[in-house]
Amino acid sequence: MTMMRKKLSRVPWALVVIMCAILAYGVVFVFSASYRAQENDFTADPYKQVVWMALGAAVFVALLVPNYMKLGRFAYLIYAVCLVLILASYLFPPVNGARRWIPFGSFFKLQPSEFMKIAVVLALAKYLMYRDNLSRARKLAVPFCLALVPTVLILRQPDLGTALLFIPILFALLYSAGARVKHLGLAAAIGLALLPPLYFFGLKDYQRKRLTGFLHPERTSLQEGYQLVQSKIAIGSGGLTGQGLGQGSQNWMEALPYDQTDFIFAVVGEEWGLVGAGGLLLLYLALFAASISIALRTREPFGRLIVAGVVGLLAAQVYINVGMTMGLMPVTGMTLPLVSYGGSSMLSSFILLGLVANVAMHHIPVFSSREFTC
Amino acid sequence: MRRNRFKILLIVVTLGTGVLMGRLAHLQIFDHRRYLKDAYGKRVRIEVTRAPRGAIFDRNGLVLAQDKPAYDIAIIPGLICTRSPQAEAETIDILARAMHRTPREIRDRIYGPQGIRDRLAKDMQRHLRWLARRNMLKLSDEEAQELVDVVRMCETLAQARADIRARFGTGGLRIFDRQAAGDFVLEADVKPSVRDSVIIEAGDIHGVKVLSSSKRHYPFGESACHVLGYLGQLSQEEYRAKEEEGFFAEGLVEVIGPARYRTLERSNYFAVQPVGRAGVERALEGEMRPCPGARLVALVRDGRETLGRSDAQPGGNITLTIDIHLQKAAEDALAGLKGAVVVMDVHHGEILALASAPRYDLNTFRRLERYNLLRSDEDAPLVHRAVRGQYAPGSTFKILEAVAAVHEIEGFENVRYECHGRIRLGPNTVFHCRNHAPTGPMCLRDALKKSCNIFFYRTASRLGGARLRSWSERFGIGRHTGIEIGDAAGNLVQPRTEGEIANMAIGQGPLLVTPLQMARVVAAIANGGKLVTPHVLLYPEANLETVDLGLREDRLEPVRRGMWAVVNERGGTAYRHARMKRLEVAGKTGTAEIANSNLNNAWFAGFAPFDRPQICIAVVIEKTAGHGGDTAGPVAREVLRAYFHEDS
Repeated sequence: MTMMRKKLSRVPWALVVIMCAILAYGVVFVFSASYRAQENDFTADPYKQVVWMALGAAVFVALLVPNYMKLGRFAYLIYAVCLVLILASYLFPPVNGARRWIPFGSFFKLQPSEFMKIAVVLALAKYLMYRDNLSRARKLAVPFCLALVPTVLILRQPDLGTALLFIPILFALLYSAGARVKHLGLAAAIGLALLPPLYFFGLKDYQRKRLTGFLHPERTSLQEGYQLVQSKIAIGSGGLTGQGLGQGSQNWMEALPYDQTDFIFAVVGEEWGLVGAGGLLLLYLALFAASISIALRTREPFGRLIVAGVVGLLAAQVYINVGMTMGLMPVTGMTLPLVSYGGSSMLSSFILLGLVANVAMHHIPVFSSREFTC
Repeated sequence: MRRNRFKILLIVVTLGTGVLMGRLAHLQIFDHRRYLKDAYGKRVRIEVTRAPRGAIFDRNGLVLAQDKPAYDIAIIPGLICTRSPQAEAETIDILARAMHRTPREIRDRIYGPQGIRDRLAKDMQRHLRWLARRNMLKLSDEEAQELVDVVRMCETLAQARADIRARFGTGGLRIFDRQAAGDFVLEADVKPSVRDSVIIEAGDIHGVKVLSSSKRHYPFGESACHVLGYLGQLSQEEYRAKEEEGFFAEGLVEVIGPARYRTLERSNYFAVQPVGRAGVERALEGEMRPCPGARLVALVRDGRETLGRSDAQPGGNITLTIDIHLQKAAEDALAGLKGAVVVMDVHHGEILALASAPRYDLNTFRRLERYNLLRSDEDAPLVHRAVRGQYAPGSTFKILEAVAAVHEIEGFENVRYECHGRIRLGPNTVFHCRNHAPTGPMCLRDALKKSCNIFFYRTASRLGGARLRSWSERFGIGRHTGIEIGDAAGNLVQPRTEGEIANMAIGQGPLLVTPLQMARVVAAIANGGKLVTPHVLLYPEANLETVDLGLREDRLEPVRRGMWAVVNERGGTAYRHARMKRLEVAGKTGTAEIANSNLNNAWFAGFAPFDRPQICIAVVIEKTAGHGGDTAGPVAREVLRAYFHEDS
């Protein structure tokens, strides 16, 4: 019993509370966005969403039990399995012209790239926990490969949004692990230099249009541009306090495509205004701050790096998703963690935050003033 | 590993959130008004209301054409046909019961030729082309074609939708669903009982609709069809031209604003509205066309609220000079023949009947296949022969010639010519007269009565080509008469040689007149020399142009007497065919030979009653083996009998 109480006291409750608040946004707005005025009814999606949340919460709790260090032993194995799954997804017929999913019957489609994100965080953290691997530029080639191989594979699916997420993970981990700023700067410079040829030769036409369409959405007002124009109208018309839950006209007129998934932030902005949407952003900031404070309390490098990777990943997702609804970023398929409708995304977010919580619970107390090194 | 770096990470994350907050505040505080206006604008819809087109009445107030409400039974394919096969079959069963049809018939209508698959495929094709033009199509041409073919070839729409979902994903589905949301008319213009039973039995099925529309109704069917004319759609070019001159915008654009007018225009709304394509419907389009009304409606979450409205204005009603009963009598008299009858008031030019045969039924006309059939018909039922048929006048032309002669040649009423049946007009030209037995010297009156060719060859010869032409011109030959529904001008050229003059003397050769022109000539002779403007619209006062030809009553008299003798004296060409007991009719027959055939165009042109002329009549019978008197005369007699209520 005492053991149990001890364990419960170690659970990072701040993190859990913030998560619950963000999840509450998710439930409320998936409900609001799923209203079908024509039928005066809701679709089944919000109920499914709640099921996914319960499943995610169960996974979250389960993840608290084993020590994350044990998980670390399987980091490369998990990485390999996810890589195989991504390759396997190429074998199935494309949906919407993309091969992102492995279908399991008609109920569930597994999107391996969602789990690849977790695998990359674990693998990179595992590799970078040894400082030795950071001193030389040559040795940095390994983490770059670990991140770029799945990037390329996912880019080919094609899934531009998810693929781009590996870069912030990589940089967040390298930087936190202590890589020289000089090296990182060099890598970033090479990356930037590679962008133009990649843009012109590596992308499909519609991907290019998406990437630049957000700069002048009115000109391509019917596909990618259309979503952006509608989303900006939704957010802008929300004003300070919003039009009220369920009252957003862009929402009930169904003017906003993907309003339960990628563009759910626009519904928040329309119905709850600056107060509600700004509040959601602050909640995310609090989530990241809580995670970083866990990292700061932990001296064990693998755990710290996991947290850095998770923060880098989730922050990038939030910024890209929210940024695209407001015309700051290109429109790519990207969910808002813990809020958007979608099973894979929900599960992977829970797993990532479960890892962070696990780090908080199992950090090894070190009483040395000097940093722990292996 | 440095703690500092995590603090910097925290700073970076905070900065990122700050940027998003800044942007959020910018959109929601500074640009709030603008976006609110956009959002509001999107909720506003236009609803266009229609009013009936003007009705057409005959001179006695009987309805000839009128808009009547009609009801169409329609379904929304996306709501009915894409559900499970059982659900679809159930709906079809209910509809069949309500519409008094078998499920088989309903299913055939939906999935048969020109059914839902064709319609959807066509609509999708158009939408895909539109997307492609704007560079918004993510599919290649082959894929787009495949997408359309899935619909065209499918067993059921539910199947098609499933295939599209599997092969093209939500992008393809969106294209399909968009088109499947449009109405598909199962049966147009159903009986009120069917409408009611559909409302009662299937009214609560999502996707079954009773559309109210209107239908032009013609109580007299094919009677006066050429005068009334038909409705149709404008051709692309005509539509463009009318659109550019603001024809459709008038009255509407003030209510809904230019931008919404554009939207409406782009949606093909105006292009599919029927317009008059012939006859009075066309000539008085501006008068009879209704002005559409509009309602500005803002959608709210649970319904809609009206922001502003302008009511639709019904089109103006039209009253014609036509007497539909006389018109029917004229049409009955033409039964089995091809030709035309014109009955006109001699003093004011009011047209009382304007019949043309063969005809078509206006009530079935709207069907395209019917129209195509009529258009390719050899007998040309679409042609309004009374005003657009151009025929050689034959001997009826002699009355015009006679009027010219009595005015141009002093003492002509006493001139006598002998007729031996033939005359030599040049070294190699011999003209004949086979209209009567050879007689001694003959005056104008007898020459008209017997329609002597020799007499008029000589008369024409004395008048000369120039005077023949100028007199014809004075009587309006070769010119449009000015009738509202439009007509043909005929053909008039000045004869140069003796042969040409002789041909014109008997109304042959290049000379062509319409029955309406001939009636006008007769009217001028009957009314003492006033050339009237024929009209089919009943004006409160006859203020139409009437030209005084400057004819002298005493000189017209012998011509009229000759015309009297044609009908009323033994030996007159119409004596046996057009004479009536109590009514004195004056007239002239004509038999214009059709080149290279044994057939003639038979004429009768006359007026009645002889002593106090009221109406004139022109009859032409096309391609008949008979002659003016025996073919056209009886037709004229039938019509006159109907007008004067004369019993035989």
